[in-house]
Amino acid sequence: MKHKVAIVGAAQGKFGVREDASHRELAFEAFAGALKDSGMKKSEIGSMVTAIAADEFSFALQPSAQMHDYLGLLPKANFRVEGACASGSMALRVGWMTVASGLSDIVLVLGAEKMTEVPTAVATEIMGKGGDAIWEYPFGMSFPGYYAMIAQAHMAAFGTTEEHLAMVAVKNHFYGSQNPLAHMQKEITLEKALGSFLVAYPLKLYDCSLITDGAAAVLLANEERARDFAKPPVWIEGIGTATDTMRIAEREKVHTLQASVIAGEEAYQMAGVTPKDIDVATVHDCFTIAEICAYEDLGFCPKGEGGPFIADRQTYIGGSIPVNVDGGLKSKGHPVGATGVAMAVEITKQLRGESGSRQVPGAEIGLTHNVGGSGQVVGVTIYRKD
Amino acid sequence: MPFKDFSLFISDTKIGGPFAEALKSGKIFASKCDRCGRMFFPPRPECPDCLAEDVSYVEAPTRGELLSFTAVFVPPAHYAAPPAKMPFSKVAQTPCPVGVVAVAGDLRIMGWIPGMALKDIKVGSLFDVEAKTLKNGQLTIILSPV
Ligand SMILES: [Zn+2]
Repeated sequence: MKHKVAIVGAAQGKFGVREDASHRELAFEAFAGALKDSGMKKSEIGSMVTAIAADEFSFALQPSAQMHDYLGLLPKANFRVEGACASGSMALRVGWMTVASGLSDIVLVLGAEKMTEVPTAVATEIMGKGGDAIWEYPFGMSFPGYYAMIAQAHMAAFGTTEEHLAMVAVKNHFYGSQNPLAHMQKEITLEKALGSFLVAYPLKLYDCSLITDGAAAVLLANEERARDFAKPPVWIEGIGTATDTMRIAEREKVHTLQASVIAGEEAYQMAGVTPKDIDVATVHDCFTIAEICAYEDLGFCPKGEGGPFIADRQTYIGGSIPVNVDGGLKSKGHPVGATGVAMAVEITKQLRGESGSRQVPGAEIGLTHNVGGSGQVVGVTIYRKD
Repeated sequence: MPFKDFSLFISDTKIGGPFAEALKSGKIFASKCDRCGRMFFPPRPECPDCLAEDVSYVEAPTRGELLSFTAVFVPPAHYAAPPAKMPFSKVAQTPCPVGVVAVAGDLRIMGWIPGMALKDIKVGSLFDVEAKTLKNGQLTIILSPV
């Protein structure tokens, strides 16, 4: 690579049911936040990459052009990148490539999704077609349905329990309650999680992430510009991406997201670190089982031990690897295209020591893990404090 | 071909016609590459390994271990129950479980598991896969315990 790449500005807008703001207004909040965070002038931005997962939510053929125009970035380059729920990480990858290659010195990566303009059943249908519309949807499969099958396979193979799943929800709500930008800022009890209604057996309401509106943005710069701004840079040290079968049924092991394993290995190798070196991580907890799989597939604990790992509170602050201490998708919310970018924002703030009551003390190396669909594409990124 | 012929979009595929016809006669088709012999379910009209279009439709093996299952209690719009007509009421739906069976080799087939309670379904137990025409004419696939 020609250049090193750092995050020099980062911001997330308020996540939630944002009836008060349009898609492009949400994008503006994150954009203005990142710009102020960096102290950069807008004219210094060389190009933009936008993450938006689904046209069906935005009711537009080219929602990224609407946003870009609204931000006032004409005539700089902009286009949209899509990788389902990993769209944000894929946009980050493209932004990284743009800076690393020398094409632009400074790139804006922005993810935004407005999911609540359609009724929940329609949102469920749109997300359900994130599976195989011809061969899986005829069996009434929903997005939670795919992860329910992953959960069932995990429970059968390793003895993971519904309580283990609920413990992930309790942890993420605990930290989400301390995050003013989270969609749902309230703690829940294990009993409440276990007593909630079934969405797709064995997953219950509190095992599922939220249907959320929101946006997030990061500004990337090369090593020549990285120290010109208000905050110390956070370096992108490793970036891995891998893919897996469209149908989860065709995977060798239904309980393993092999794309997470491969993308993780790629990122660790590029950064020259091991799972033990990671001080803080955000992983893709679209469902509680997904967080347990991520502990294992990223090497935070051995395969099959993700359940006992959360039961031991190893992923709380003070444990061996704090995970999703921003509330995760579970409590912070999951505005699909924004999620991967919001993860990068969280790790940037953690490595700068700006996370207040949720700060992981002394964090120097961070990781984000972002899954598209039910594991069809995964992005893992590793970050280091300056 | 409408939704009742198995799937919303199958009419837009090259294999939808033969596949639906076979289901109607009680058979589940896989495809087999005439050059390398690799089998595919769902069937496809070409082989991604050989780039060959010489494929034959063959009956898929029908017995294997259950890989996983679920039952979708909050269904997507097509499957959602209509709203309750009685005021202040809700319509509850008891969804049929859905599972995936690994039939001989590594072919995986998804199907409904009618007539079994969730607590009685065990990952790893043997199931038979069958083509089924429902009373309303809809074609589908069901899984029955051996
Ligand atoms: Zn072949």
